[in-house]
Amino acid sequence: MNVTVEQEFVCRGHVACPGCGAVLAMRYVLDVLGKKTIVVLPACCWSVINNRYPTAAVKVPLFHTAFETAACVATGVRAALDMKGDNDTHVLAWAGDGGTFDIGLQALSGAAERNDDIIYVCYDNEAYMNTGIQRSSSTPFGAWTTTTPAKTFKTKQKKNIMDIMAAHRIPYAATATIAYPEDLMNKVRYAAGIRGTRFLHIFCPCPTGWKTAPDITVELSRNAVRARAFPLYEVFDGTRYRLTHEPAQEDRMPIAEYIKPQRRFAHLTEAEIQVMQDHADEEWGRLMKVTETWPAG
Amino acid sequence: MKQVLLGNFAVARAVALARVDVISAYPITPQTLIVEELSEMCARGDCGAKFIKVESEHSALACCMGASAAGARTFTATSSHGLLLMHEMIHWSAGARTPIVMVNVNRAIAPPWNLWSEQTDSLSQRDTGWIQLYCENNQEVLDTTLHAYRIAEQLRVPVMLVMDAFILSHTSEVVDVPDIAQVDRFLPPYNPEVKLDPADPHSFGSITGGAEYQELKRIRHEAILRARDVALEVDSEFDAIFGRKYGIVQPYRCDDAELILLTSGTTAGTARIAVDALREEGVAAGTLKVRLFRPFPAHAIAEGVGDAPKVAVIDRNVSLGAGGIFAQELKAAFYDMDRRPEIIGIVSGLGGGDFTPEAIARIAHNAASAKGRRGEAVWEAL
Amino acid sequence: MTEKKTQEPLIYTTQDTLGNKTGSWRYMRPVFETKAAPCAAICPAGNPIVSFITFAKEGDFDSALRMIKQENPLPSVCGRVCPHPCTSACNRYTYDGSVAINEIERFCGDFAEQAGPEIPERAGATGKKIAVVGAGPAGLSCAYQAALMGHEVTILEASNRAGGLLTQAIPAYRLPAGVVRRDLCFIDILNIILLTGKTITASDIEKMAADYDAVAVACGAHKSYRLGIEGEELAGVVPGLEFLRKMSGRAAPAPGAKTVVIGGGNTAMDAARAALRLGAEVTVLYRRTRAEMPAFPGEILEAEEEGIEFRFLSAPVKIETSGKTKKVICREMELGSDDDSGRPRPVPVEGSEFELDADTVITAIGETVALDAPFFSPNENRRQISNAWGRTTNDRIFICGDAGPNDRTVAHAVGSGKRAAIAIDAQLSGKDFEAVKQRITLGGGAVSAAIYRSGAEAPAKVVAPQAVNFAYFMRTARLEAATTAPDERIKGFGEIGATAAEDAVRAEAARCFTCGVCTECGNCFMFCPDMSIITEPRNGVPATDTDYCKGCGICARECPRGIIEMEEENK
Repeated sequence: MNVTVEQEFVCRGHVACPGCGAVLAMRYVLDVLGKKTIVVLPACCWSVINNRYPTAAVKVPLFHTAFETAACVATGVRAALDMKGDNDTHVLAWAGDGGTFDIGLQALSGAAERNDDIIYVCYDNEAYMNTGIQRSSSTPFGAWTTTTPAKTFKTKQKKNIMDIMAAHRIPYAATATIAYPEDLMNKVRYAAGIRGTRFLHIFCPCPTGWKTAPDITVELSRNAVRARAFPLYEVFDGTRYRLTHEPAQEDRMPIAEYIKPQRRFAHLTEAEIQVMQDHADEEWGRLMKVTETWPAG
Repeated sequence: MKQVLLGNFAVARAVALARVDVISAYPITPQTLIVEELSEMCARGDCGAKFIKVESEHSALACCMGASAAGARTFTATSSHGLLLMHEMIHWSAGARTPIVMVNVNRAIAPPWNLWSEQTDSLSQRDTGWIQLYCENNQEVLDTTLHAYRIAEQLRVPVMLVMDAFILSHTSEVVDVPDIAQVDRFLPPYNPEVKLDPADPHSFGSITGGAEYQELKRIRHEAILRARDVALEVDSEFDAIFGRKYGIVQPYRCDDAELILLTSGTTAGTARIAVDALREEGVAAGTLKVRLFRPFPAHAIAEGVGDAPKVAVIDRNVSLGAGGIFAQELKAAFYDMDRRPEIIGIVSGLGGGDFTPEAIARIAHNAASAKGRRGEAVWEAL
Repeated sequence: MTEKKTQEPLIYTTQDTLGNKTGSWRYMRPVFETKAAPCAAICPAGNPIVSFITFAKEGDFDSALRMIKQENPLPSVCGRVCPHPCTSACNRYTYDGSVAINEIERFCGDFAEQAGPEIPERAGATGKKIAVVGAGPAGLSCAYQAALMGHEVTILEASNRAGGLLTQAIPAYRLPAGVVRRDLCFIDILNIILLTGKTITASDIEKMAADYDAVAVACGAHKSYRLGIEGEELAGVVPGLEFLRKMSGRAAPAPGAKTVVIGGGNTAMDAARAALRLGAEVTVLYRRTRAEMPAFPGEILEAEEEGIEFRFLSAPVKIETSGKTKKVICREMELGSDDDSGRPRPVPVEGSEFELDADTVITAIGETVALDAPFFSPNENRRQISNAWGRTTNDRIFICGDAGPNDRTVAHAVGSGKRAAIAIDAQLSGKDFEAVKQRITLGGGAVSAAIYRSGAEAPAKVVAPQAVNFAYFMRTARLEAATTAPDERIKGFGEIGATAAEDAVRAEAARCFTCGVCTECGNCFMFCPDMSIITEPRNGVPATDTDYCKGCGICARECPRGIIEMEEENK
């Protein structure tokens, strides 16, 4: 491990499920952004993880807000700081996939189009986990959720939020995941050093919602990258791409192996798993093509 | 300095005078001119605020809430469907104790499409924990906007200022626009004790159990109740500087009245003309304008009504299946009073009908001749 | 004037969450424990493999050598002739090839040329006198460790120099004399008294037991088994060890044009390859198949490469004189049911006789201990003595090396010599032998003299490959040992291959997972979602903050080297 967490901004005693990936993401991001950060938190797992009044696990200012308002509240906070001449405090909108891909997409699009000076993190656990595992538009094909029972599992592919964000031509959008803290923290560091709307899509496995053992959270995160289900890359100005981690040939893993320990996929037939594989291959191919065609300088 | 201003422009002048830090709004007829004028003023440097042109009213209020929570003085304006889209954030911003000031230009709610005045939009937000003030003319609009910041920031309760569509928003009146230095004396900068501040980190709005939740609600309730006194204090201070006074209710010829017309907004002015005419006819009529709707100024109204046996409430709004909303509030307020006048609820002027003096006089006559207490609203066409 | 201080509670938080002890959620608990790497646990000599490789990786070969010398005085020797079971046990083996531990050891041993011998500091004199019979690797190792413990050590050696089989049997192409000399420098440094030319009998040993506080018998196994066939006594029929011993003398033997070697062990291979280098055409006769050959596989392979012919499933029936040469009458065999050793029993095939011409016949079907002593009745007490680390029925007499019931490799000899030294010291200092044994045995295998001396505890558990998280290790090419082409090497007795270059050794050392030994990589800390890892090492490993650890187990899963294990709570 070439990086470490220098300063803990997440306090022990938080109430995340054992093995929660979203806590690690918060820990890494806040370590890079530091004390001068204000978190805007819409409804999501972290609304609970932060623990109940009058205690708080997050040691920087944090504002709980409505599900769909992370981006616009963050914009407001930024505006207030700007009016006070505070240019060095980071405003961090911290939303789940539901709050980003679905209900919060409009506000996020608004902020991105205006290029509001905020860092927006979507910590993606691929369903509405806080409400008890309902499908979101980030839920991958094939997954069981309480609203997509195994018999009628989700038949639509995961929405490509990065494409949507890139289409806004924001200065920086990147994917990251907790198994690669150095990569993740480098991206946060880069984001912290520039202005405008910065979007980080952080993949955070969820033992509760994925029906996995709590000890394999990091492993699943790593395997998602190895299986190329979640590629690690950056997009600059929405137009120039860079892959930040390409799994070595011998580290590559078929989707089948990646999903094997996840009981949310337990019902899938080989043919259905092949659909997932084909999709991953196609998306990867597309990413390779854009990366080659429009490389970051 | 006296200027001829549309109601919407009076709002814009007030926002600049209040030295608002952050504006966030989304255009909707008939509020649009506020957004446009503020954009122009910000562009010219006549307004020092940062204006964030969001993609929806929902985001507008959310944005104001974020800014306010971080210690900024904020403003938004909307109308009708915009207000309804904000509904969740209206609750949230009040719960977050962010002293936002919002102007709502009353407009009827679709369908069918109707752009004209009706108060159902704002009155249907009555349970959200916002203070509501209803204005009669453009001077009052400007002055009340300044009042609103004082009240909101003192109580940490957001304030909604309500004005009629077109009748005020798009009508030119002479407005005495105060000097900003004078306004500064009246309205000091907003500097809350606790805000989103890295030097003093807290989480705002964390989960509570029922006991804490109820206690927090009770505290908010009491804060809102204090608005009656605070509004009067602020009104007096404003009067001392600017020589204009509004009160929270405005009785007109009520002392010996047999029939009092209870009105709000622009209807109040027309009602005064109608009352003068009725008096000439020998009808002992008076009118009482309710300026503060939430908290409902029950005692101030009761005092204004005095011994009058009959109150006719003109509601340019309706809670379908219940009747006019001012009438309901009034009936509820008087239930606990020793003297209870007969209260007649009149629903009229929905979707923008014109309350002419003659129309109001006719309504008054109908009300005067009505016999016995009536539970049901009377629907008067204009 | 509008701002009034209010006492009313607002909806913001005022405390952190430290009061919420989430440790109460836990039903599994991470246990941090230094463990033995499988290489170290299996090392017959008890080399501190992870420690010396860690230094080698840093290029600190002085320290690496010093680490080895704690346990083994013969790194240059072992680095060459040990069959390195460590590499087969290496957790990297199935991933991308085991770490070439022997190559690193060899480099470290040879590094003494630059660094000096790096002998550990000798403990204060105990005043105890110990005699060691035999200066082969077992006796040397026993003497070395006993001397380090502060005892006064005298070695009595029958031949005229120290080294035993190292100098008298193993041919120079495997182990050059200079290499042995380098490793043996400790004899002088530690003031060990070496008396050569002392042939010791069983009764001498019993007498010595009265003169010394302890006697370690490391006389080796020099008595070659006889074939028991007609013609075995003919001139030109020689036992393998005798043939090899002549090689190390002044006048090399002349095997003639054709040599037949009978046997499949390391002595057979050494003799065959030596004869080949002396100009003979060599055929090896072995009565089972290649799979059953006891010789090191590498030796067999190299012998084949060099052109030695193997006749498997063949056994001599008799040897006849045939003019100036001899004729070996052989018979083909087939494999029957397993015998007591667990190997298939060779059964003669009727009418399958054939003949081989030979100028020299070398018999190398095994050696046994020449010593016949009451304190050591090999047949009954062998296993018992092995478990007892050389202790015999006489509490002053200990046995180690090939003389005892040990595997016959140099590394095993070093290990058994060390065990005997520890058993002696434990006895002399009145320590509870069983407790000592328990304390200093790594994962039930190797024994550490350094741990014995320090009073620490050896790790009890061995890191299994399943406990390694391979994701943290990039696949890298294994160091391939330098070799010499067969036609080149058969030209003489020059050493085969060469010690690897420093860069290559460092790179190879960097491949070590350091199984079971915390490197403070930080994974457990970094990946703990409950911030419950206390990184300040205690006993060389981190710990968990049980107040908050929810027992998710990520730390155990993400530990690259198997230090953390989940255990049920309340256990």
